[in-house]
Amino acid sequence: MLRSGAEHYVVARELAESFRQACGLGEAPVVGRVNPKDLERKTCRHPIFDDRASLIILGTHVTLDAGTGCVHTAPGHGLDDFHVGQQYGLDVFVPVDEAGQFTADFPAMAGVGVFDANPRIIEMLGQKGLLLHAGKIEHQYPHSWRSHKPIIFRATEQWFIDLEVGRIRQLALQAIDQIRWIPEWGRDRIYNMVESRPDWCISRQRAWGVPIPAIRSKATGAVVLDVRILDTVLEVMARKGEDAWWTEPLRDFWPEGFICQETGETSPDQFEKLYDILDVWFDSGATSIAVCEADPKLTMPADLYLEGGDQHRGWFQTSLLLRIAARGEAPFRAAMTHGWVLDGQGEAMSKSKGNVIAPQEIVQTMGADGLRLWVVSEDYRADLTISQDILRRVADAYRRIRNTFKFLIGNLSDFDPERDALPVAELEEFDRWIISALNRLIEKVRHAYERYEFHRIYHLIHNFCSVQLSALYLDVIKDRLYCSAPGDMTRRSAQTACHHLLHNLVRMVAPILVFTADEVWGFARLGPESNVHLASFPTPNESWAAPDLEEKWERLLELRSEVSRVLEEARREKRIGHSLEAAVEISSADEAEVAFLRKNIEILKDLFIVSAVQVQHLQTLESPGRSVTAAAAAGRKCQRCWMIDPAVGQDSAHPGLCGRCLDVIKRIG
Amino acid sequence: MTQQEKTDYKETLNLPRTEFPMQARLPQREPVRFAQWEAEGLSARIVAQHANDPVFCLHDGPPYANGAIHIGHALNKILKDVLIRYKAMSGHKAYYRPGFDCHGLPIEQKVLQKLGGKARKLSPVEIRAECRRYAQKWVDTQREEFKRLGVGGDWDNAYLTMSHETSLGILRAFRDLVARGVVRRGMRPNYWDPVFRTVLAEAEIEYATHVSDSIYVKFPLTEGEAVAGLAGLANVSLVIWTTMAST
Repeated sequence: MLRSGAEHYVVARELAESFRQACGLGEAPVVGRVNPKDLERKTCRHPIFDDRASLIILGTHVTLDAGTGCVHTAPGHGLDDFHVGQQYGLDVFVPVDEAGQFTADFPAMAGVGVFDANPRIIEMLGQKGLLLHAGKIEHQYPHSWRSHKPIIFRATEQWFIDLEVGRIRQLALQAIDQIRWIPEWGRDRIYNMVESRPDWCISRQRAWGVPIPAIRSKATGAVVLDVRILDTVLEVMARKGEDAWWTEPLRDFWPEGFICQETGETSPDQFEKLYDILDVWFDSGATSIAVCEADPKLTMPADLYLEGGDQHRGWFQTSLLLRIAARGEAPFRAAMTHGWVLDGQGEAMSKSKGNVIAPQEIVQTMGADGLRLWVVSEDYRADLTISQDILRRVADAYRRIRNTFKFLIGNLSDFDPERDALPVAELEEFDRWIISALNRLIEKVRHAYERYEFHRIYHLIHNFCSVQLSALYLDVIKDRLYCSAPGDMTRRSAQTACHHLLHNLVRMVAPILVFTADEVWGFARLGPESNVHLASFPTPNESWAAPDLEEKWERLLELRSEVSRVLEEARREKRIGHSLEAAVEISSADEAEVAFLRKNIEILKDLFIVSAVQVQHLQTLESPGRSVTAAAAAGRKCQRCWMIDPAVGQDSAHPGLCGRCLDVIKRIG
Repeated sequence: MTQQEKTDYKETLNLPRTEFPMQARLPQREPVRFAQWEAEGLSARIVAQHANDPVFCLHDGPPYANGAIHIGHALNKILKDVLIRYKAMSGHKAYYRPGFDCHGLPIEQKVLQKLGGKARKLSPVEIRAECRRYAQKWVDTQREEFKRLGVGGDWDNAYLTMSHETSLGILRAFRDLVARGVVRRGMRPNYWDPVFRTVLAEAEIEYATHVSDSIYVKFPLTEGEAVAGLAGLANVSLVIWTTMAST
């Protein structure tokens, strides 16, 4: 308690200083302490209504972050006030009408809007000497989402779903713990909301909705909502439509021999229809019953609900409460949410900021597949970002994937899997290696789909197409594909691998690139299904896995990177042009490595895409124990395969050909 | 070496051969392909193909039918479609029936705005008819927009909360709640929109900056109240702080 002049003010101790400052009370000293318990149920003079006394009540909803620790309570105009008022049996006094204007219950302000009345009330308080300070504050205040104007709180008669009757809240909370929430934090969010939410007010005073067929006794004013009337209403509406509630007389909905339990009245003429409608959230919340139960193709509970992250407060919650209330069970086994779409700077999109990117525009430039690829490129569990730059990157990724498909299709034009495919176990080692990598990819992609981690699929597929296929495997096998005789076993081996790559990749991307995948499916005649979406998702094939090869090829690929650097340098120094003009020499101090490389010497030339590779053992070599050099290969360039070979020029009929190409030409005649 | 010889050798190579275009031209070609799928009844065929597989049921949360779809809608439907197509391909009977949320204040308000002064002369039934037309227009627009994204499903049988069948179903659900005794009448302070004169749901509230009064008001303790610690003191007031003088 503070003293200022002859006045004593009771405020919360923690807020005394800010109170002094706000009201300009200088050094007003603390002159005593009052236990709030001692004030409980005492009275004050009402500052406005001289004939009313204000009861002092205690509530836990008042916080100490602003004000004085004391608030005025209006049970008719605030939810906290209403709840605490109920505990003390306060009247719900509502001197405000539908338009937000004071009624005759507040004669001095009758007809004045609540917001307009504020300055006049403050003036009244000042005149009565009750105003200690009046200032302005800028704060976050609830507004209507449609009129964008500040709302007021006002008590009216409404219909509610009572969450305590039938233990709806309790059962809903139990159900929440049985549901799988993706991401997991969804569980806490909805649990806390359901735990603390008020009863659900389901009535609206509008026309566009499902009517609540309640009636009111003209004599007593009693409002009646009766299952028997509801049943006849349903019957009549089934025949005449929902407008019937507005168009048909009450007697048409009157059950035979109906006696109103509340009033004892028996005639429809004694009642009038009420025209509230159901909250639109009731509509969507009820679809588990109205739609799913009526459709044999749908099942309840559903396996999954998938919506934006705001639906913990919206549809997930209304659906859950409603089905718990009506059926005693949750409508879904899992609920998954996605984030908001933000612009490239992480800002929300809005018309006023001019940063809106419309799906219709994206579709017109990149197609739906482009947009779909963007969707999976982002981790939807957090907020997603989109901008022209991001879309350009996605478009590049799309082209990479499409190019991969085109390459594979193009090289399979003379390949009939029935006739030409080799068993995977009999493929060239490099081909078996890529099949093993494909198998691993299938495993990972499936796993990511199963866990709904779509962004991982994007990265896996994109990476596979660009790093493993485009920059490596497909580049290396070009020589075999292009230059061998068509039916050559090494070519059929590469084609078999290409066929498996195509057949599996296209099905892995089919759920995402729905159009492109089907286009590929048709071009490649991958059947037997007429449409890729009728095909099955690839499954890992144990016989394709070759962990031993993967280890070996990891070593070779590491060497390949080193060779690439050396070739790049040679190109820069203009010692060679294309890598095929080079001969590579690898010297190693490690005998085991030399042996390993010599054993694989045939592969190395292909792998490095050069014309010759030599491996030598060099005892004297210092750490790191290996050196790679590149020089122009000896011989002339084969006019067919562009490989440099000393043999070019030796055949008089085909002086432009290397030995291998000569052989091919002779075979194909 | 003549040019002729070089060309000869090129023809002996097995260069890639395909009509598969590198230029995807997706904006032009996707709609044609989708129309083909629809003509073939592809979505139904996919479900039929997996008739004997375990069921995977994703129930669609209905978007509100009062405008063209935005990127958030596209994201939502594409995620659903990716998931459902995967489920089907990996061996599930994954029937997808999209829905549309058609009732409610936002549509009614839009319609009333469009009608302007005329609205006051219309009966609820006439307003409902206008709302129905308005909602149906956006349902049709959104349906086409979703299809354009490649989203499969039973679009011809999409559920509309305003359809006769579904509205009755909603009322039947309400009837069941009444029968269970969980629907009650009560007074309650609600968010109240003084412009549209209606109760608002919590979900219909948005927070915005607002300049309010900030006042400190004395509530003088009634004379004669005996409060421990205040004995003998005159002029004692409780001081309240509020931003809303009127309440």
